[in-house]
Amino acid sequence: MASEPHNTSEALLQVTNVRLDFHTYAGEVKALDGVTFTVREGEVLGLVGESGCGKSVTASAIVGLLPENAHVSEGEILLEGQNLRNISHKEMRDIRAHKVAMVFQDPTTFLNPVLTIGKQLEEVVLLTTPERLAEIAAATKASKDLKGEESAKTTEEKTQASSKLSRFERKKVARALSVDVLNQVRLPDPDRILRQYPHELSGGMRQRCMIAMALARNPILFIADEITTALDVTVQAQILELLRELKHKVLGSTLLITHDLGVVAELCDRVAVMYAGNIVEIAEVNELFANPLHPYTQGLMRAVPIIGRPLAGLEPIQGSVPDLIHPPAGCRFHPRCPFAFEKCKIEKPPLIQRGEGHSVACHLYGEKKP
Amino acid sequence: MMTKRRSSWSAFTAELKFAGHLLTQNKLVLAGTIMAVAVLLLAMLGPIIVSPSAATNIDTSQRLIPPSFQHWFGTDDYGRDLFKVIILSIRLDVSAMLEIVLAGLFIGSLLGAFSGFIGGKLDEGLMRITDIFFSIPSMILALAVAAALGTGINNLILAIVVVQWPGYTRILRGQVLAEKERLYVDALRALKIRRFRIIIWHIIPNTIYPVLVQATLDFGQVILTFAGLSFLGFGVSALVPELGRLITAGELYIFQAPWLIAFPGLTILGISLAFNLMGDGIRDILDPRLRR
Amino acid sequence: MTFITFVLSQVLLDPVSLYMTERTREADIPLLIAHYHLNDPWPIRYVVYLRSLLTGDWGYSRSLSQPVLGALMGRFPATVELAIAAGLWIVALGIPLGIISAVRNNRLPDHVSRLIALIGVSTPVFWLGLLLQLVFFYFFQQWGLPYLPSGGRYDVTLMLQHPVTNITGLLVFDSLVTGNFIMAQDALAHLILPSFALGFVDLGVIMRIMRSSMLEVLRQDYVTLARSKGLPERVVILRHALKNAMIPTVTVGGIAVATLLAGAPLTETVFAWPGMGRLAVAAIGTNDAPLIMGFTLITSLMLVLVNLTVDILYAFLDPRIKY
Repeated sequence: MASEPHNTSEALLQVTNVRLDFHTYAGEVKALDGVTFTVREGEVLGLVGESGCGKSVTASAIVGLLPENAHVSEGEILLEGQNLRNISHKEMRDIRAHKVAMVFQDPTTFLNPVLTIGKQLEEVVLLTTPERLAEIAAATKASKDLKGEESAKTTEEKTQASSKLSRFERKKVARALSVDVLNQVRLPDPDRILRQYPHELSGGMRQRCMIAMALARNPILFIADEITTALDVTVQAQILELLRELKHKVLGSTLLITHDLGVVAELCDRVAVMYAGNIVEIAEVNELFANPLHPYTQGLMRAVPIIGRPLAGLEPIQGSVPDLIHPPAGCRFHPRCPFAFEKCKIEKPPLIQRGEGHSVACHLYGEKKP
Repeated sequence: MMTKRRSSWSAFTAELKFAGHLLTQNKLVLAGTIMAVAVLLLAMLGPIIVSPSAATNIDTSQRLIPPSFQHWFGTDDYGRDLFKVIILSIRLDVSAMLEIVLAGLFIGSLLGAFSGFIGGKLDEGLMRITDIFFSIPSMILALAVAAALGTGINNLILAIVVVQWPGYTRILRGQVLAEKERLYVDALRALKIRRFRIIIWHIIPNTIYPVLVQATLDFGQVILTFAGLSFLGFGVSALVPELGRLITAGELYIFQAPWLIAFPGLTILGISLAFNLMGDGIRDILDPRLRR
Repeated sequence: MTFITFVLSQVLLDPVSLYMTERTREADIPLLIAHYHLNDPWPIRYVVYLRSLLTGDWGYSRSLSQPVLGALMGRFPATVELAIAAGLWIVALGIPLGIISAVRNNRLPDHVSRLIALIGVSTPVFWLGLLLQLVFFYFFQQWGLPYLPSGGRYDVTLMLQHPVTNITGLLVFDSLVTGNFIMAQDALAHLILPSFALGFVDLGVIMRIMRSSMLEVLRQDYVTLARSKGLPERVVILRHALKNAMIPTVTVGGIAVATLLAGAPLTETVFAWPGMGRLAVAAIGTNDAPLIMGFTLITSLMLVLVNLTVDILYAFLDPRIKY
């Protein structure tokens, strides 16, 4: 049983106690072991952890893109109150098209090599409902200025332009929107890029295109799965810069998955730390860096150089990531934890609140009334 | 350690046993394997179960009888019991099939292995030659060669072997090229072992898998080619029981006595299918290994 | 490829026979030998051979009393028509079946398709042809159903009544284009069975390669992305996956054409289709070696051409390839 600090903001995405297994030939991989966290409206939640701890799996579970051998055995995923586990395929598709947009790690393999960027981007735009497209078309005609989504909010236009647009007009609007969104991600010469193929662009540009594809949907939840990992450091910095800009202007709520604490420090409002399929700590970002409670988080802090802090030497965390087919009993971190005691080996610690907006799952902190 | 083992063939046989074990697990493959074994048994025991005289037993009073209890497949226009004749002909077709593939395999592999290992002009020249062979569709080439060689079953077998060997050469050469870069080859050379020995005793057993897989797949195709060319008139002479030739004879009576072409054709299909199934299964099982 | 025919014709047979006609007399033979340099060392003979090929002198067919090249070219359109029709069967059936098989992987449609493919690969072409004739011509007739003709390319009497103007030599195309619908229908009816028989074998091959490359593609990351965009599955398959999966299929397609050409002699014989294959087979009976050599040559030329086309097709499918 886990609890999360409540806040005045609305919870946009609520993940509660999700358990997920993979059926493989080698055995059952217990990938997620009761994952709980919330993404609130307008905030950026970072999901941090080592490779293989289940971060990407969680994201895939949210959008329903799990492979066939994955099985969610327990838990709820609520998006704006709607349980994503119980919906039909069509409803899920609608959600993917309009509400949740995901950007993936490797822009090389995630873009279709035989289709132009334009095609891949426009198809996203065209998924917008016809009415909205008509709105936008009318709005652009009226305002004579390609500001895209922003200017289409006048309701009068909506009633006027409710008639369906012709195919050709839809394509034109889609094109204009695509150009617009490419501008938003700061890509130069968007017209040209629309005509190019993925292999003709650099890694950084490709990643921006992917981000553009997400933005074009106007999502209420933006999931970024390790989007900087596959890029060179300099390009990483550029993308981070872009995200920072977008954060204030366009991006709504974001789930930012990464293993890089630096990225977390830059962009996130709150952070959830994940280990071997469990959330072990959640806190506001400054609080987490200043006062890490969970031994794992503390270990992470010590293992990574942080500019501004005196460098006392880097300490890796002892041991290695557990085998998820036969995970350790009790707290999954206990074999590597310098503070482990008897209880840790038997009972799994629940996520409890310890201070304002700060939760941790560790027996060191005992039970406290939420 | 290397010097203790005289060759890589012992490892090879061990893996073969393992593969055989896997083979029995997939159902469809199992069915195919059983069929293939049945076919082979029939081929071997054919003349024992069915007296060879059935082929020469011409009795015109019994001509063209439709399938009945007495004659399961009916009789042909010489009055021979078709069922018995087919059983006898299985032996001929299957043995031809085996001969062709084995001969092609043998020649092709040796050529490919030596060519790949030794390299240089020999290799280039050989590749040119195989290219030439590949540029001509197989049956047409076989046709041309058979026409040039003349009638007779051995000529036909030879003609098809001519078509088959380049395939094996190519595959094996590719494998050998990769294999000869491996460390143990240097070790063997350092021990001053003659190239010939290296190739035969070590290189070939380690690279022969894909070729074997291809060979089992080829059984099915070879028998079709063989029967096809027989149908056209190559190979055996009229009365000798052979599936393709039976169809040629039966063609004359296609509408009156359809069983004359139906059953031999089904038999060809069955044999080809059995070996194709088995070959498919073998390939699927050995697939991860092929990515060496 | 000319090397093979050269070897075969010059080594295994009497080289002079390639160029002898019925009217050649004993005395003329030395002239022929001189003209084609048949007594000269091999390299020269090869060059002369090549030269004569290029100038259209492919030898003389005694059984037909015609120069080889002329005889072959006369039958060329028929074989091409057959091959194209067979190719259409393969594309129309094989590719969709392959896609369905991959999408419904390991479920019923997949197993059925694979079985069809397997049977296709194991079936003797000539037997299938005969079987088709049996069923669609004979039995259908017996059962009072509209039946398909059992052989030949067109009905001769009908042709005399409605002659087809020769544009490409492809009967169905020509008659359609000239509005000669009676002949078009007739030609089409004659084309159905043989082309299906010819194509059936390769159907399986193409279906299987389509299936496996489709399976491969569907596992790719960009397909996941497409799905994450909320695109309907059909769009994902047709727009994103298909183009990528076609690439290896087209390669195999090129090889499949080889099989088509290879099967042509058999099919043409069974269906009395007046193409080159049948000519070659007949030539075997009359020991007309020059004709057989010519046939071999032309088919390998066709194969090379097809492979070239496949390479060009690649450039269209895969934007990463530049020429």
